[in-house]
Amino acid sequence: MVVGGAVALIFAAILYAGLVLHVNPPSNIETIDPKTLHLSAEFTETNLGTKVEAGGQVISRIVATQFAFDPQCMVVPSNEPVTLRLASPDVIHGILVTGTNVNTMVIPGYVSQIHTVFTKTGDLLMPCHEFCGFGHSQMWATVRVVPRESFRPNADGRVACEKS
Amino acid sequence: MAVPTRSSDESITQSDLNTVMEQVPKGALALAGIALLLLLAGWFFVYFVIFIPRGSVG
Amino acid sequence: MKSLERLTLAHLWVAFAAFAVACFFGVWQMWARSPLPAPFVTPDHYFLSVTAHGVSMAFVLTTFFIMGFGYFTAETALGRPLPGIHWAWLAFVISLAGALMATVAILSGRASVLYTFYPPLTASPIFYFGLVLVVVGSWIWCVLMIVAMSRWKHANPGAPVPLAMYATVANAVMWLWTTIGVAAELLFIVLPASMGWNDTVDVGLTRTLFSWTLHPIVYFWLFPAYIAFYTMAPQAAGGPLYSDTLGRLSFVLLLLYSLPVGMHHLLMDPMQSTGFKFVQMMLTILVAVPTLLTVFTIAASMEIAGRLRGGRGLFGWIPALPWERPMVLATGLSFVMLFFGGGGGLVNMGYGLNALIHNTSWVTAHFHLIFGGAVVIMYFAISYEIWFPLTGRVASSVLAQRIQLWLWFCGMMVMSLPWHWLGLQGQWRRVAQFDYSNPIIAAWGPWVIVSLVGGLLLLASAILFIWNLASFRRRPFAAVPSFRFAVAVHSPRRVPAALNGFGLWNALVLFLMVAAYGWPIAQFFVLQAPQAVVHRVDRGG
Repeated sequence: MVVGGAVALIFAAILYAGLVLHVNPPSNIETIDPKTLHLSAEFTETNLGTKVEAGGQVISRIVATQFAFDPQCMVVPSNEPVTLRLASPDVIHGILVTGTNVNTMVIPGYVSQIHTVFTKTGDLLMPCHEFCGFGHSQMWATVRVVPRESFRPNADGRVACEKS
Repeated sequence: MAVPTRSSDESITQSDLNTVMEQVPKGALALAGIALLLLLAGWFFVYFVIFIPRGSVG
Repeated sequence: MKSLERLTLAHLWVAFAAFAVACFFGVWQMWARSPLPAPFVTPDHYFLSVTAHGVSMAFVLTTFFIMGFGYFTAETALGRPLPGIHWAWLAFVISLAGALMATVAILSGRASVLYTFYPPLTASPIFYFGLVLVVVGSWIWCVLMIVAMSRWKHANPGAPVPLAMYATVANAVMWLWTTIGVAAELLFIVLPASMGWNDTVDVGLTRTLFSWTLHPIVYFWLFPAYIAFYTMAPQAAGGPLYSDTLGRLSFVLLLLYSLPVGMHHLLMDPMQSTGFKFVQMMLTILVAVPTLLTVFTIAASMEIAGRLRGGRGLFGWIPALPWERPMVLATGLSFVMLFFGGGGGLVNMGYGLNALIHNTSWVTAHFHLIFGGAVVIMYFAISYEIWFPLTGRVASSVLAQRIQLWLWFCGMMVMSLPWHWLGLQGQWRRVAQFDYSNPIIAAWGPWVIVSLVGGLLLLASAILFIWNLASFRRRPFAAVPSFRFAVAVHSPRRVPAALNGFGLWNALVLFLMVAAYGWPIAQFFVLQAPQAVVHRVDRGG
């Protein structure tokens, strides 16, 4: 009886978060060929990083390889919906962004996609959190969350970290 | 000196057992109930105080 | 010494040898990750160590302990010689050969893929083949357990199978179902790739097959601890088991619900849909039920014992218990670790909530507490308890046993509680060296050192455990009374057929697995996702 009640409570909280707050695990099941990633329209090198698309959506595209992210630093606006899209040409990787709920595996053969809203500004750490080989420990990127006024896309809609 | 850690239960009489069984399982229910409440409280704390404020993801 | 005793002891010594070596690797790993300078720290050494530590603890310690304890239980609970003891020795030889092959592959640096294998990362075929042999030996064990129970039932028609054996066979049945996933993964995908017969692998399918095994395997490890809770702890405390039926029910529920839930290890994976993740998450909540039932039933059994010893009031039975007995102490300490480990687990399985902690140190904390802590402490207590009937010798110091158990508990808590905090800060897994010059990471340093201290306590406890077992040998032979398992308050004369066999439960497991895993696996054959290139780790990669 009591156990049933406890179980029901937890279900309800998870359902609430899923349906009302739109908190779901990343599950879009979209395939892509890892062997030709660099030749794809979307994940070719010049298309990586943050771009404001025609409809106004902010999309950040990242490629995870052994043993670096491309780009190593990306800029995103705060308090606006951002979509992250990741792919890998080689082995399993994964990411989290410190202080946020952004967390996903990156599986070769699939595109990982997360919709989120960053609320705190600053430089966040985005390490590769899944074992991907001997260079795994040194694999991380920076996510720079900037306030609206500082988020200035260029003519192509792209924003990159300033070289310092 | 070492003793095998099992005790024989021949020394427990049926009447001892009956007396005790009038109280059991109140203590166990109390202990398990408190443990369950603490677990739930902890879970809800993590969920609403740590997880949800970190932002929506989907 | 009779053959069965030698058989059980052989298994236990292999298990504990692997365990002791793995503890040394574990401490070195924590030292390497800390801000303190450590020797031999290179990525290849680190990942070799993680692989060795994981394989020893997760596959060797466990499988050999479970097999050995199972043989002991079969003969002792059923009161008749183990059928097919020559097959049991054959199984031992096969599993041992496999463990040695895997060890050679790992220590020579040709298998640093961790105990969870990460295809398309691919190791030497000797590694995988060795692990396949370990599993094959365990399958022979499963068959022997089932045969032993079925022959006993034939000789005792209508009688309830003793709970210790019913639970052991439940574990064997569960293990047969469990290993299907990893066997399919290894035999059809990973071994062919490592032999060079395939250049690419379907990573999504491989991970999904592995997840089939990854959850129930931890219940395989957990069963002996629960068997001790139900059939040894009450006896040690001086009272009966509160309910035999609740015990049977718990083991059956564990069998049913530990299998169709592996997807909670894939919540952050893009190749499975929210629908199936949600379903498997709901089933995961159900697998918490038998644990809650167990906590209640064992607490009630302890309550009987405590009240018989004069304990009064709502909680007075707790201090009244004979805590000086190692089995009682271990049970209490195990329950504390089960509380924290289980709590962490409830967070892990929380569907979207998993994003908070996936692949962070929180996960590491969870399984060290619940397996390394709650389960392994019972492996120690079981060993102390059965060493006397196995060897005919008595312990030289029960105090040393208690000290060893307390050291294990304190070490595990000190090591793993900080990892929860670090995980929430974003500390991620499988890192050989952290860059402590980064301010975010620098803040973690002191807690990493605290964890390391916990690890050192654990290592001391591990060494003391081996010492305690070895020092049993120094006492003169004493007359060995026959070993008895705990009896229930109301010993059942008959139990319903459903709680005396597994026919119904096997049918239900099949139904649940088809529902939970049918499409998630079949989808790969429809989807035909592009495959990834095999990346060898054993050829200077």
